Amino acid sequence: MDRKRHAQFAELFVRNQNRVYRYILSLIPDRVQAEDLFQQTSLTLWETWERYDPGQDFVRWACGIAHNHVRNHFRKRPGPLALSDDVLDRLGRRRLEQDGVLEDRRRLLESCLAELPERHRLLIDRAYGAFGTMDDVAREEGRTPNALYKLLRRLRAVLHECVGRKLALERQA
Amino acid sequence: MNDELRDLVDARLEGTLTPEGRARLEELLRNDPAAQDWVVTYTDLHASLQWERRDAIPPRRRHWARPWIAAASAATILIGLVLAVGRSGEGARLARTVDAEWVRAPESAALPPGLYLLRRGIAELAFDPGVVVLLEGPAEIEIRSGRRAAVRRGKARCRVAPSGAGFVLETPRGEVLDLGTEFGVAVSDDGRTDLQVHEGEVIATLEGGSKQRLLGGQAVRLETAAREVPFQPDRFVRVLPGPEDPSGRGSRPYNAPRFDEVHLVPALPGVVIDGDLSDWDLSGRFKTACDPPFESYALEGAMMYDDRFLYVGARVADPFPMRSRISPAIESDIYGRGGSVALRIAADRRMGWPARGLAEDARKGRPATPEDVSDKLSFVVLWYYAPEDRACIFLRHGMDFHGVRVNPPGYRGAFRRLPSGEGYTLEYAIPWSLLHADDDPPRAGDVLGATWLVHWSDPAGKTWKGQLIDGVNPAEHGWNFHNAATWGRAIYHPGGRLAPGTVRPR
Repeated sequence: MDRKRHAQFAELFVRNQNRVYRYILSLIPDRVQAEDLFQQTSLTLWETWERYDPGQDFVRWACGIAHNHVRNHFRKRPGPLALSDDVLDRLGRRRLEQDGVLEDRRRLLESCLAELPERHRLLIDRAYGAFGTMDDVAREEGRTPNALYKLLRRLRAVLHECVGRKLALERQA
Repeated sequence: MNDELRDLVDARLEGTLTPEGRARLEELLRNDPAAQDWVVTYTDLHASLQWERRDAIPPRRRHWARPWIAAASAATILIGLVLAVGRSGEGARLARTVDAEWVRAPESAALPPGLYLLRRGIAELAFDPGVVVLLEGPAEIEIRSGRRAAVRRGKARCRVAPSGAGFVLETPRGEVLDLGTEFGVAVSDDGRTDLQVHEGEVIATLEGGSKQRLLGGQAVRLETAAREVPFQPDRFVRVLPGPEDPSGRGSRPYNAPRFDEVHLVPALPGVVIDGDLSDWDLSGRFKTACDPPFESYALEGAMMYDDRFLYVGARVADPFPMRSRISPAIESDIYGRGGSVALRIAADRRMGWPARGLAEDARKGRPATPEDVSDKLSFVVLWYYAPEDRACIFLRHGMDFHGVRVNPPGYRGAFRRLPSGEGYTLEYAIPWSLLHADDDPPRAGDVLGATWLVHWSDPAGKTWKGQLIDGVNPAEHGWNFHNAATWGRAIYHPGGRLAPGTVRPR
C-alpha cells in the first residue's frame, strides 16, 4: 500500500506544483527569491511525504510548508519586501480560502490575455519570460524602464479587471 | 480598489517599495478583508503570468542565489530519502534490447530484484509505470524495486513521466531523485559519477547528505560536493548509427510518419526572423520523433503564410546542433548533410493535392510531362553554415531537380541554439517568388502538397547519420524524391489560432 500511496503523492505533487509556486510568488513577488523558496519547499515536501495524510487537502498541506519557508525567509531578511508575520498569515489564509476562485481566475486569465492586442501579449511574454532584467527588456523594447513598468502596471490592471468581469458573468449564468 | 493600495502593491512587485511604503501597505492590509482579497487576486495574476513563462527562462537564470542547500544534519543523512522505505519487492521488466549481450542472460522479460551485468548493447528496462531506464553496456545495474535501482558502472538514461515521479537511481557517489524528467548518469570503472539533466528537475543527494536540485541543461560530477561540469548533450544520447552502419536503417528514415498533413496559418504581422518563435502562431505545429531507441531525435514543425512569404519554423532536437561545415560556396549534392531541415513543397494551385510529378527513375522510360518538370515543385534545404554563422537555403525544382540556387536574394533565415545545447530552432521567411509561385501564391482554403525532412549529422557536421520524414500521403508508397504524390496535405487555413485537435496524428 505504501507504494500506491507514494505514487499518489507523486501525482499530487506534480499536478499541484503550479499552485505551490504561485502561493510563494504571490507572497514574495521576486522571481529569484521565490524560485529559491520553491526549491526548498519541493525538497521539504519530498522529505516529509510520509507525514502527508491522503485524506487531507494536498494544496493546503503543501502551501502550509511553503508558508513556513516564506516566513523564515522574511525573518532572516527583513527588507521592504518582507511582511510582518501577522499580515503574512492573514494573506496566506485569505489565499487558501480563495483557492477555488483563484483556479477559476487563472483559467479566465487565458481568455483575457487572448483579448489583448498582439503587441501587448508579446510584451508580457518578454517581461515575464525574460532571461535578463527589466532594464534589458526595456532596452530591447526601445522604452525607458519607467515606461515599461508603467505599461505593465496598466496591463495587469486591465487583465485583473477583465478576469473579474468574466468571473461575475460566469456566476450569473 | 484605491489607488494608494494599488501603487504600493505594484511597487512591491517591481521591487521598489520603500520601508515607509511597506509600513503603509501593512497598515492598509491588516484589518481590511476586502483589501486582502484584492491583493490576493492581483498578486496571483502576477504569479500566474510568471508561472506560465517560467519554462522560457533557462534554469540557471531562474535563480542565481546559491544553488546549494546545506543539509548536513545527521537527521537528514539518517532519513536519507525517505523514499527508500517500503520496497515493493517487484523489479523491472526488460522492454527492449538492441545488440544486448548479458553476462548471465535473464531467463525471462521479468527482472526480479538483483544484479544484472550488461556486457554490450542497449537494454531498455521498464520499472513502475512511467519509469524507463535505458542502459548502455558495459554496465552493471542492481534492480532494487519498481522504483529504485543502483547503477554501479556504465551509462544509464532515465525517462520518468510525471506518473513515475519519485523514482530513485543510486550511484556510487550519491543518489538521484527524479521529479518527472529525463536525466542520465555515467559511472566510470573507478566510481566517478557524472549526472546530467536533460529536462525537468531532479534532486541529487550526495554522500555527505547534502542535496542539490538540478534542472534541465545542468551537468555535475558527484563528489563530496557536486561540481559543475560542462553539459555534454551527446554523452548519453544513443546516437544515430549512420547510413553505412549495418545496425542502422541505411538511408531509410528513422521514424514511422505520424502525420498525413501539415497546417499553414496566416502569418502574424510583424514576425521578426530571429530564430525565436515566441512571436508565432504555433497552433498548427506538429511534433514528431524518431522511433525508439532514438526518440530523442525529434522535430516540431510549424508553417505560416501570407501573400508574399512562406514562413517555416522548426525546433529540432539534435545532439550536435548547428555544426554544419557544408559551405554554400562549394557545389554539393547534399547541402543538408551536415544537419538540416528540408521541405518538398508544391505551390501550384491548379495542381491541388495530391501533387503530381515523377522523377525520371520512376517514369520507367515514359517522357516527362509538364508536371514532372514543374517549376512549382520545389525542394528546399535550410541549414546553418557554422564557419560563417549563416542561415543558408538551397532550392531546386521539378522532379528533374532543375534550377539549382544557393542563397538567392530575398529570403531571411535565422537559427538559435536551445539553452540545453541539445537542439536548435530555425525561422525562415521564403518569398513565394523563390518557389515560382508569386504569380498565384497559395491562398486560404487551398490544399496542396508538402513533406518535411530532417537530417542529423555526425559531431563534425560533415556527414549525415540519419533522417526523419513526416507529412506523408498514406495512400502512396515510395520515395518523396521519386513521386510528388507521396507528399502530405498542406492545408492553408483561412484563420489562425486553430482549435485544439485540428493537428491530429494519423
